Amino acid sequence: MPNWIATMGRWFDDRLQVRATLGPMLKHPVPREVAGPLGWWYVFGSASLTLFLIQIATGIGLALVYVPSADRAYESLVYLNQQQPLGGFLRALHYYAGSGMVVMVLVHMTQVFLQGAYKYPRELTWLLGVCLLLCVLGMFFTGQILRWDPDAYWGLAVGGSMAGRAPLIGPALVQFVFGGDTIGGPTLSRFFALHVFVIPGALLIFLALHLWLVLKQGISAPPVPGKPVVPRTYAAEYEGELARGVPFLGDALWKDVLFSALAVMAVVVLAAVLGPKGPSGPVNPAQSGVNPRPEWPFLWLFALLSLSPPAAETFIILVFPLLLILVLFLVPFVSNRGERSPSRRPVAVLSVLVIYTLFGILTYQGATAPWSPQMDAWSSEPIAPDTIKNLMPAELMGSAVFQNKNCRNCHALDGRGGRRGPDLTTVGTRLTRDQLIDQVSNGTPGGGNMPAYGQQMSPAEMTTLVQFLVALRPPGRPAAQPASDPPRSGAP
Amino acid sequence: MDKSRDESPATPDSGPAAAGFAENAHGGAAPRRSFLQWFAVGLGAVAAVAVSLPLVGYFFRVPKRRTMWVPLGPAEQFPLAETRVATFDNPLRTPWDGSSATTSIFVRREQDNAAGEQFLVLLANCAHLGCPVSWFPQSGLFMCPCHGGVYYATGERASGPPPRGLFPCNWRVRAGQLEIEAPHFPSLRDCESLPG
Repeated sequence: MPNWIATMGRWFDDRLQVRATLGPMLKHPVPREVAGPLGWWYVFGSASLTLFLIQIATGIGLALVYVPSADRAYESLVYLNQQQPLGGFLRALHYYAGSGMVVMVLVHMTQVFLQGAYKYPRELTWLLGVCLLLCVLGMFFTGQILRWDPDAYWGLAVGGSMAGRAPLIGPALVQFVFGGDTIGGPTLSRFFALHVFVIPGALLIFLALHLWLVLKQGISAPPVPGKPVVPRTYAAEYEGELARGVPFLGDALWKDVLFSALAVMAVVVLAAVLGPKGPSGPVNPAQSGVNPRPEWPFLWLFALLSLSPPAAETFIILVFPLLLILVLFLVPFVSNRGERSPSRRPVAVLSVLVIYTLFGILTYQGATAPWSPQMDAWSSEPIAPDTIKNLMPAELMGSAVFQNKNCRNCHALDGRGGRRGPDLTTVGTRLTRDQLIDQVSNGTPGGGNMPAYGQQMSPAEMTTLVQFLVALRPPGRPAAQPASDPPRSGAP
Repeated sequence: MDKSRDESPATPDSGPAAAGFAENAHGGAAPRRSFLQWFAVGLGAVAAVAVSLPLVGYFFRVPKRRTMWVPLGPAEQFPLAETRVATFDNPLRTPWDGSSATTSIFVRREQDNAAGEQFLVLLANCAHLGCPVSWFPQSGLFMCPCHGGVYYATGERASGPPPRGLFPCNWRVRAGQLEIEAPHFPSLRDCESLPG
């Protein structure tokens, strides 16, 4: 190195004291095992951080072009996608790095939970981690709003309707969230401020404290079965670990670097291959037939809200998410000592399995949304020729009634159509004529899933419709019999 | 020379000990410093209130608008006992709302007798979670694409998760024109039909 560079470096370091400050941080000892194969468990936090840095860089880039104004946002996004060189790639990268961040934070959190790393003396590190998770989810929701397409608009409507259910303060809360009486320019500006100033600011503060605690309390050693955390003796044991530890800036760090590089490559490839997400179209609240869907981290809530009984709904909307957060906050206080190894903590492992299975099922349900009527099925899904080939004229008329009265929006025939109600391909073998008339006229008793069609069609339409439904049976199968006769089941 | 950095310069003629926040190195509190501290805290509190009150007001208060009426066209153009979609630009908008201020509502002329015209004006937001319902004239039902709420032509809940019927909107007929009160987001206030 030329002498003058070293001299200049010393001149700056004499004043900035960088080496004295950062040196010990980078060279601080970490448990020896972290440099070994078990160190691969420790890479998810730093990968979240790396993706966050991508979010900052791409976010600043997008802010150079994006216009957070309700009447221009869509155009500026289309401009980014189509005209701005690499604008579409930057939007895609911001989306997939954000998605990756949610995934990494969840994996990091699960690893910390399963290996008991949140126990004494790292309870506060866990609490700040929960705050960071909430910030990341908040970024995802507010970011989706900035896309300002119909999904964003109706996502706001759903959020507003949820907030409006709060007792007493509901209307005031909705006005505060929307920044006015309706969803419009001030709403977008509010979510822009949240996405760009408020939540990132909070996130940076939580992140700084989180990292500070990682330095001050040290990285937990990999758990050893039969070696419980005892707060009284932990400090001395950990001192011992560190005494034979390795410097962080070394073998321990290279795994983080490698995994972060993989994560970055993954989101870059995803962004390049899949391209930017949306906007699906300009906001037009008067457009009918839209099919709003939340972003993937919120699909489970979307599913939960459609599967919950109405009586429990306000509770699920207003209290349940708070309870979830409270449970996460309480984790290190319920168990901050004892065994750390997952092999000695069956309840913890079981909880993780149950929670991930539940959220997985709910997310899948939310993605497929079988409870949503298929709004155009009545006019877009014809009845198969095989179904109507051998029908009598009255039954044929009934099939037209079936389509015309929008039954198909909720009931599939041959698997095509809505899935809110049962598939009616073979309904004639299950329900008798009288049962069908009762079901169609009165709907689900007590106002359940099916509306009462008694007033929605004429007696002639009802008669032909039910004749058609009775005829819906596979060839050779008899019609359903009244309950006094035990129904015959299966093929003869 | 006082070497301690975090102490204020000692006054050469420190007086007798007096009430104060901190004692200085000489074992007594200087009255001038004590007064300065009280004054700083007091003025600081006043300044904090002076700056935060307007800030809180700015963040939490929304401009109050007077009631605005939107003309939807001649009352006769709405056929009896049929539900029609009416689309308008909500005047509660800001100038930069763009197309997000476009609003559609459902209008149904119920009867036309000696008592005058009767209208039913329904907001498009589902009473469950605010998604936009569509009108199906063939079956006489409103259906919601989100969670499958269904309503009858009267706005009454037919099935699905909504806890109540569709939100009605205030309307009036002036000089043969049907006018509706510019609708707020419906969970703000459940509009009720004006009497008469």
